[in-house]
Amino acid sequence: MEDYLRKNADWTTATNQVTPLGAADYSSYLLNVGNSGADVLINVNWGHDAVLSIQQANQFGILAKQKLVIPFEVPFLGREVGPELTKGVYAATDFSWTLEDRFPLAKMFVEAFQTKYNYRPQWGAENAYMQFALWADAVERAGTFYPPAVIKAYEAGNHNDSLVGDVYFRAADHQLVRPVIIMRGKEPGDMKNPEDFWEVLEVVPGERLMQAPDAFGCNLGPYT
Amino acid sequence: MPTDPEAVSIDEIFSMITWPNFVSQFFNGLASGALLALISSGLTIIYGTLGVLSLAHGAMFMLGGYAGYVAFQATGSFIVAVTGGTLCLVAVGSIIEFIIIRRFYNRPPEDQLLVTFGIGIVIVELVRAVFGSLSFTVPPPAWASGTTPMGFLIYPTYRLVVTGIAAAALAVLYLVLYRTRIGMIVRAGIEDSTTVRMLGINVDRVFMLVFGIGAMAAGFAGIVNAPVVSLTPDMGDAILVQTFVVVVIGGVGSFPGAILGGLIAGEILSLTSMVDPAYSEVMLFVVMTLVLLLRPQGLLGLPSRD
Repeated sequence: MEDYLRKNADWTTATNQVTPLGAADYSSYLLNVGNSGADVLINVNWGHDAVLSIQQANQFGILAKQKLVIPFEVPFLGREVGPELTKGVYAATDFSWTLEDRFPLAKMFVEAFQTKYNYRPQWGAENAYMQFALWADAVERAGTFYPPAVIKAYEAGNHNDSLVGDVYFRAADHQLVRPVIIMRGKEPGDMKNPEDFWEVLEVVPGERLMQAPDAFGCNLGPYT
Repeated sequence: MPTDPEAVSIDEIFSMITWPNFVSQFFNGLASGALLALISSGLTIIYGTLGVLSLAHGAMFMLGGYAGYVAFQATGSFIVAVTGGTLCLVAVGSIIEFIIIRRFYNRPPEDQLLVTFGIGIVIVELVRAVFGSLSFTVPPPAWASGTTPMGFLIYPTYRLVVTGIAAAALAVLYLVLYRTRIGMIVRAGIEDSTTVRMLGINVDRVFMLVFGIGAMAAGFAGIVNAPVVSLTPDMGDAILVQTFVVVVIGGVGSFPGAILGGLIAGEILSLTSMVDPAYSEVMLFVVMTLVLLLRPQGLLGLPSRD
């Protein structure tokens, strides 16, 4: 990504703060970030690390000077850090409940999920549901639970309609080729309900986003 | 050949070492160290007096935060949150000592470690069962929100307040331990609880209070720190490990050692992050290992009594 941005957007990385997992405090890393003179803060922290680092970046006044970008949104991020911090922020994700306006399956899923759990599904639930459905489909096509046969059924590259449109597994490295959702944080005043944190800007088809199958030296090994 | 995205070049390492950043990090080390010192002082008071190394200390820190959160939700007052949460933790600590810990004073250290570890797990899971795993935030009081420009750096106002509160709380703890009758009994109890008992002093009650005060130090730190972090049930885990390191560096059972250790730990975390953040916590353990090798009783600890 860095190479791509450098070539196409005149990007320079001011500082790369690789922080310890589960850090109790981000103050010292954020001081480095604040003193780096950067214009953009790309935060790839995960789970509570993401929540805490964003909240503390705000406490240090960094979010007022640097534009926050979230390459992969953590489930419930909006609810945990609040819309004041997510507004205007660009984020990529696997699923947003507002996709119910675009995909009939998503609408069905969101409604059923909300009826059962009393809140709208995040992408963790979408991933779990979709993976299980794709596995069931592969088992059905294989006609058996025998893993090598099921793997081959996956590798056939069948296209399936999913909660986010067309998806399929790539035989070369068993990666799921699926769209990525690009969204932007809504202003608190524009939220239509307490879970309406994000506006979906684009559903980007998966093909162009995939690394070449051999990019990470993937070796699948034998079936058994 | 793709380059390792996490490899740090020499230029990159030195790019963050500038005077303004050094001064910022040094200051931040003191500020975060003061809080660590406060939490660690509770651990060290309990160990020094009761001989029990409480692995439930991180859970007390977390519980303090949640107690403060509940009090804040109920009243909207930060002062009430801090007072209520603090009293709550004295009570919780005292009750735990009364029901469980006092049965373990004469048992081997492994039993004490296991039972306090277990208490910690139970408290964390109870909080998770009641509040769930998503984090909660307590806003700082209005007069302390925002940032304060300090010339060389912009620092969150509330963190400055926390540093002041932590320093004041440590001073109060020091006065109680070294300038009051109860403190004298506590210190005498550490040396020889049998003689203290023979003098007609109810050591059991004093010990219960000591565990309560130790838990309170962690809980109080948990509440005042709540607006800085967001509350999660397992937030005490990382803190427990750090306070452990602080106490080992400063000297197990030494109150001034906990303060010195806390400040040193804060500086290690901050200054290392200037060179390479990924190693900041590793460095904490490197220093702890060095202290254990060169001065096993810790910087301000006395050689073992027994």
